[in-house]
This record gives sequence, structure tokens and C-alpha cells, in this order.
Amino acid sequence: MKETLLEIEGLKTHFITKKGTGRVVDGIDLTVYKGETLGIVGESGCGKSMTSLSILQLVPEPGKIVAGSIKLNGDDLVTKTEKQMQAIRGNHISMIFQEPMTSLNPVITVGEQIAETIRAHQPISRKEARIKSIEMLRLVGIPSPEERAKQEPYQLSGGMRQRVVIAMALACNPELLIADEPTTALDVTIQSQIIKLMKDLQKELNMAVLFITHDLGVVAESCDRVAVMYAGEIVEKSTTEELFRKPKHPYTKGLLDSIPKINEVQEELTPMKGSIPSPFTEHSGCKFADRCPLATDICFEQHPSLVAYENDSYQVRCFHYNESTSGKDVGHAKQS
Amino acid sequence: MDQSLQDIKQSFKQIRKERRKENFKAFFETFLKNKIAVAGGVLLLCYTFVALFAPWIAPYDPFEMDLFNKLQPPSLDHWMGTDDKGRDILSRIIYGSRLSMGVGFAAVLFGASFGIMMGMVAGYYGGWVDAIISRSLDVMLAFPGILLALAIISALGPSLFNVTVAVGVFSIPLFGRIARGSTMEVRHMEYIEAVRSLGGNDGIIIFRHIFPNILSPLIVQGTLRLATAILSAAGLSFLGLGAAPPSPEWGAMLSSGRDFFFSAPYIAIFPGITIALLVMGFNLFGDGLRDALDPRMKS
Amino acid sequence: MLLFIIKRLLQTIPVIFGVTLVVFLIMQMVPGDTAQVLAGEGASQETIEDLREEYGLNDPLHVQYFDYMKGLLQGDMGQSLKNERPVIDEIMVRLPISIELAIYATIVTIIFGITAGIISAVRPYSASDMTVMVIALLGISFPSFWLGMILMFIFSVELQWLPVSGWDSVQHMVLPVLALGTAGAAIVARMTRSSMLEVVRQDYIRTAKAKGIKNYLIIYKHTLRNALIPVITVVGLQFGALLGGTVLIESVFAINGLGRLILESIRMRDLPMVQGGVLVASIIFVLVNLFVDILYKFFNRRIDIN
Repeated sequence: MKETLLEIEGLKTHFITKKGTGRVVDGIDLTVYKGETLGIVGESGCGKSMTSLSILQLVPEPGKIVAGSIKLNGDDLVTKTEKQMQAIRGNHISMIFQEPMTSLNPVITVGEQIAETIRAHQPISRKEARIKSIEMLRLVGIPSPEERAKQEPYQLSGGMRQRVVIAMALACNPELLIADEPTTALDVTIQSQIIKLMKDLQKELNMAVLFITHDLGVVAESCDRVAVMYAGEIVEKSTTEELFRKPKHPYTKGLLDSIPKINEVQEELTPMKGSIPSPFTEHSGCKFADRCPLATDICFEQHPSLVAYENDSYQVRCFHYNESTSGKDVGHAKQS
Repeated sequence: MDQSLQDIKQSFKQIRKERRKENFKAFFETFLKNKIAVAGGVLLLCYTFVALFAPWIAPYDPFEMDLFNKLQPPSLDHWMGTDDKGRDILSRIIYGSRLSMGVGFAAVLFGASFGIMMGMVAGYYGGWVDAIISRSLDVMLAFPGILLALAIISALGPSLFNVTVAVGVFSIPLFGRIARGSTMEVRHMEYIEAVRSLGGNDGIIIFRHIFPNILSPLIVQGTLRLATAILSAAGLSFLGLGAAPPSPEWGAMLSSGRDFFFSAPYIAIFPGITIALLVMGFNLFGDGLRDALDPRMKS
Repeated sequence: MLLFIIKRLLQTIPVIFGVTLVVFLIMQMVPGDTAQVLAGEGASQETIEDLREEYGLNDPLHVQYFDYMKGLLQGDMGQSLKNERPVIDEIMVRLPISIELAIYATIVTIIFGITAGIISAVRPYSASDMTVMVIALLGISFPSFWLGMILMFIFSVELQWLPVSGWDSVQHMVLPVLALGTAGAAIVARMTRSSMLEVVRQDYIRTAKAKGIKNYLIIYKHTLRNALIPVITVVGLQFGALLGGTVLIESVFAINGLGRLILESIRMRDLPMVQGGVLVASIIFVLVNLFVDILYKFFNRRIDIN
């Protein structure tokens, strides 16, 4: 039996402004098991980044977690104070952000940026922290780490910087690493190096990874299970294999179709038409209905719930997916 | 003039007119939301009103001496007291607003006209024209604070007019730099290239097409610069280099109040507060304009 | 970096030349007969002619400028019309006092300005922020000389804590330094605040938070270090305003510095002295700006590259 590490239930993160409420994350259930890699996929603006910031309680103003719980080893993070969260961030849960160019402080040496993370969570001396930071740099494959530690971010290339960011995130041996588009800003060869590095380190340190990306190719390479997000909701959840073998939700199908296939004669890229609705729009029906090729009247009138099929091996949020009758509603009370 | 050029200009004019209308509306809405800036604007309106209607507002003749009532502290008869010659300080401040604000406006107008002209020519032509003008502006900026103004007055001799010229010259490089930078930005905009390629006259392009497009940062700086200009002019008059007694110019009033300051501080306190409120008005108004015209232009 | 310093040094030379040219030309703006002005009122025609000869006023303009520059390069700024002493000697006596005043006022500008800016930025739109920003607004609005007078009235006349005027001891220095530094401090406070609020939005601050770094470290280590870089430039520019402001403050507090010397010389129409004083102050300002630019470039090199 897989051991649960992180359990998100009914998470809603809303942006409350004078102009209305933006339902950026609108009722999400997710479980991350120890040691596994869970991918969250979706277009930009679907709420995947806000989900990860919600886990760390770092949602920017005017965003706010309005409902739900986020349990780390059974302990709810939503109710924690800022001080308690500081002890968790970087220690039990770490995060890697998208832009290696801007996510390191330009005026502090990279060694110090790693060392300060360690010192924030462990009672060790400045010197020990420095030695540990050099070890971390070596671990992420940075050549001559002693010299590199003394350098400032502007002296490193993009790929190097992302390695530093990873070293920083892993410095305290976190149980969960949240990687928010960690490779998007890098070029292709460095991308695969970084992904390989992350996979190796994951095994070595036995941590779970929550991999947030819009790139299904990256998902196929690195994730055990996948959740597809659309407009603040999860529309499909299954193993990576199942998802690629047989996508169920029309949105997932659309995403897969829009990937150019290498072995195919390059026809036209088929991006899905339309775009994600603004989180400020009110929906009575399915949020994807406007763009969905299968949409019928019911899709515009009622909100579909996330339904589990085949012994909970996958879940889909679609009225038109009726493969078997074993479907059971896993949603909470129907969303209004 | 060429027919097609005429047409193109006409259509651009139309587009710009509409765009300007929209921009103005958006600007006005943002600005009105900024209560502090509106307060600054109201303050400025009050000062302008006082300056325009000084003879009707002032309770006394600002020059009339009353030696039996000299150095009176503030009272119901003389709200701000009387000076060493028995003149009503409030009335003098009211009349002085014409001088002090006038000098400020004239100086900024003077500095802005020359500065903008130089900046636009430098930005438009580039090359050695730009090099010469830019270096000249650099040289003017090399004089610390009001020292350039002091040097000019030392040669021209003390007078309120010369203070105006001196403070004006001291403002040239600021406007010059902004105008140059903005001109270089808009010079390559499509329609200016279009008018240019159709053989438009350089002078007309600069004034009819570039000038309206670089106006907003200049207006913001102009407003903020008025604050500096008024402070500088008051300072120069305070040093006895501007308005001479018995002029009710605020800086001059402060200067003549110095000798009696320890026994009758109100002689100097009120003109100082008057200057400060006006300067504050320009600062608040200018900050508000900047935020409303271009939120990216935060200092 | 070295290349930048050399380039910047080379750019400074024409500016200093330009400054000498402007100072020289301003002298030519004197209305009427320069020799007449130099000789003073009621001088005989003969004296005027002598002066004309002595100052080379019969020569064409460019020859006059050339002579002026030749003198300058040898440290000769001409003679005072008042007492016929060399201008440079008089300036060297007065300059240190003004430099001292300007440096102390700069220190006040930096310390008060940055502290106030931090207080504001830590809790934007809070009561403490509003208070600091209102004080800063007052600071940039009141004329420095007026502030000096008020400070003098309160602390020297009413409370009698500090001496009224002069420049002999630390007590003498407190009020003039405060009066001169307030406007700069206000400007630096506003700049520090907006710069910090800008930096707080950067990705690397979010990274630091995600690492579990404590709040005070985020403010003082991660935010402030970056936010102060643009403040350097503002302090440099403020130094110029300060240098100009010494004229007013030295007049209020009767301090015998360079500013007061320039002012007295203007009143006495001692033009060579005015010329020399303005020139020296400007060259100091140019050099300070050169230094500040290099400093800025040095600190900004890590950000510039992106």
C-alpha cells in the first residue's frame, strides 16, 4: 500500500477583488504518495501554479485560500501560522520556480543562497553550512563547486542556475519537491539534462515530486501519475500510461492532439481553438463547454463532477464519458 | 503639397484625435480616483484663485505702512500679524502670490521652451547635432543645485527678472533630456516614418507630430519642476538677489523678516508655510499626473 | 568594468572643459563694459584702461579664454577685486568648511532617508508608512533656509540648547546639517520606499520565502541589498543640490564657507571670486558624480547582465 504524503481536499483559492471573485483554484482534490511523481498539466492560467503556491501558503494578494485542507503527513497546513509555515518551507516542502534567471537573488553568492536555506532549518554553524552547500552543488553536477559557490548568479549560465535552484531546494532533504515549470525557460538539451538530474536525485533522496507543467512531453518522461487541470478544476486524473494510451476527457484529447508528433509527417499543428475562460466568469455548466467538440445542452446547464471509474484507477469530469457504469461520484456536494 | 501626403496626414490626425480623446478620458478617471492628487490640484486652484483676485481678497494695501502698528502678532485685525513697517502680512502674502507664482511659471516656461526645443532637435536628428546638444546639457547639469543660477545673477545683476531667467536656464537640461529621450522613442513610430518618407518638412514633423506625442512626460516634469523653481526663486530672493524690498515676494519677505525673527517669528513663519503648501500642491499634483499618465513611470 | 571607468573618465574631461567655458562666458554676459564693472563705480578712465589691458579685455574672446585656461591649469583663478588676493587662496580657506557641511548633510540624508524608507516599505499603506511619507512630503516642500530659521528659533533661541550661528564645534553643526540634509533625506526616503516595493515583487523574493527564510532576513538581506542600488544615484544627485544649498544655509547660520564667500562676492561684484567659487564647486560635483556612477555600475553589474 502506498503511503500518503500530501492530501489536498476541496481546495479553493480565490482572488477577491472589488470587481468580483476570481475562482483561480476551484475545488481541488489531490493526493501525493511518498516517493512518487505527480504531474499537474494544463494551459497557463488554469490555476496549476496557484495550487502549488497554495500548498506553501504563499498565495499573492489579493488571493486567499477560502476552503479546503492541505494535509502534510496528516497535518493541515492551511491552519498553520506564518512562523510555523516558515519552518516547513524549504525544509519539508521545497519549490523550484520557472525562471532560473530571476529566481536567484542577484546580489548574493550562490553558495550563500544555499547555505542560508540550511541555516534557516538546521542549527549548524556558518562554516558547516558552507561546506554542505558546496556538497549540494557537487550533487547537482556543478563542476568545481568550491569556486562556483563564491560566484554570483550573473556569472552562471541558465542551466547552471537551475541546478543551483535545485540544490537550494534539496538542501534540507525535503519530503516533497514542487517543481513549477522547472525546464520551460531552458533550451531543449539542457531541459532533458535537468529532468534526468531531478529523477536521479528523487531516487537518491527518496522524495515525492509535484511536477507542474504545460508540456505533456515532459510529463511522459517524468511522471507516475497525472492530473489535468482546466479553469481551476481537475478534469482528468490517471496514471501517465493510461492518460497517453487512452485520454478520456475531450480537453486532454485536445492537449494530446496539439503536440506535434515526431514520427508523423508534420501536418499542421492543431492547437485547440479558444482559450481558457477568465476565473472571474460565472459558469453554471461545464467550464470547458465553450471549447468542447462534444458539448450538448446538458454541458451548458449542469456542472459535471469528477467521477471515478474502474475501481478508482482513473477519474474524469465529463457528462459524455460513460465507458462503464461503475462510475462513482468522488466530488463533494455539487458545485453551485 | 502632395495629395497623398495630405490624405495620410488627415487620417492620422483623425486617428490621433480619437485616441487622444480616449486616453484623456482614461487618464481623467484614474486621476480622479487618486484623492491625494486631487487634493493637490484643489490646493493649486486655491492659490491660483488668490493670485488672480488678490486686490479683492487682500484685507489691506500690501504697501501701506502703519508705524503705530508695527510688529503686531497675529490678531483678528491682522490674521498673520504685521511686519516691521506695520504692513499687513496676510495682504502681502496674497499680493506676493502673483510675484512668486509668476516667477515660477515664467521660469519653467522659459526653461521648458528651450529645453524641449533642444531635446527634440537632438533626438530627431541624432549624430553630431545630438552630440553637441547632449554635451551642452551635461555641462549645465554639472553645476550643483542653484549655483548656475547664482553665477548668472552675479553677471546680470540682482533683480526678479534675472532670477526668472537664471532659474529658467537652470531648468533647461531637465526638459532637454526628457524631450530628447522621448523623441528618440517616437521618431521611429510608423506614422512619423510615413509622413517623413512622403517628404514632410522636418520642422512640421517635429512640432505637429512628435511634440504632441512626447507631451505627457514633459507635463509631469513641468509640474514637479514648478515646485523646484518656486523654491529656488524664493531662495534667491531670500539671499537678496531677486525681488528687492518693499516687494511682497515671499522669499524677500522671509529675508526682511530675518532681522526681527527672534522677537517676531510670525513675520517669517507665514511666508514659509505659504511657500511649502504651494510646493506641496505641485508635488502631489505632479505625482498624481505621473501615476495617471503612465503607471510605469514611477520614480 | 575597467573599460567603463576609463570611458567615464574620458567623458568627464569635456564636461569639465564645458564648465570652465560656461563660467568664462557668464563673465562676458555682464551688461555694459566689463572693465568698468571690474574697476567699480567712480573709477577713473585711466584705471579702467589699465584694467582692460591687465585682463586682456582688448583681445578677441578665444584668446581671452585661452589665457583663462592657461591660468587655471597653473592653479591661477585670478585675483579678488576686493583685496587683490589670489582667488584660489581665499577659496582654499573657505572650501573645507562647506565640504564638511555637505558631507555631514549627506550622511544625514543617507541614514535618515534609508531608515525612513525601510520603515515605510516594510508595511506599505500602514499608519507608520503614512506618517513617514507625510513627513517626507513636508521635507521636500519646506525651503531649507526657512527650516534652518525655524530650527534656530526653537533650539537656539527658545530652548537655548544649541548656539545660534557659526561653525566652531559639534553643537554648532547640528542645526545647519539638519536643515541642509532634510530635503535630501525626504527624497531618499521616497526613493528607498518605491525601490523596495519594486524589489519585493521580484521572483527571488518569492524564492527566499519558499525557502523558509525569516522575515527580517528577507527584508534586510534579500530586499534591501537590491533596493539600495538605484538609491546610490539619487544620493549622488542630492549631493549637488546640497552643495548648492550650502549658499542658503551658510547665509542663515553665518558660516564662513564657500557658499557664503560666493554670496558675498556677488554682492560686492567681485566677479573673479564668484567665477572661481562656482567653478570649484562644480568640479567637485562632477567628480562626485563620476565616483557615484562607477559605484552604481559596480553594484549594478550583477543585475545589468540580465
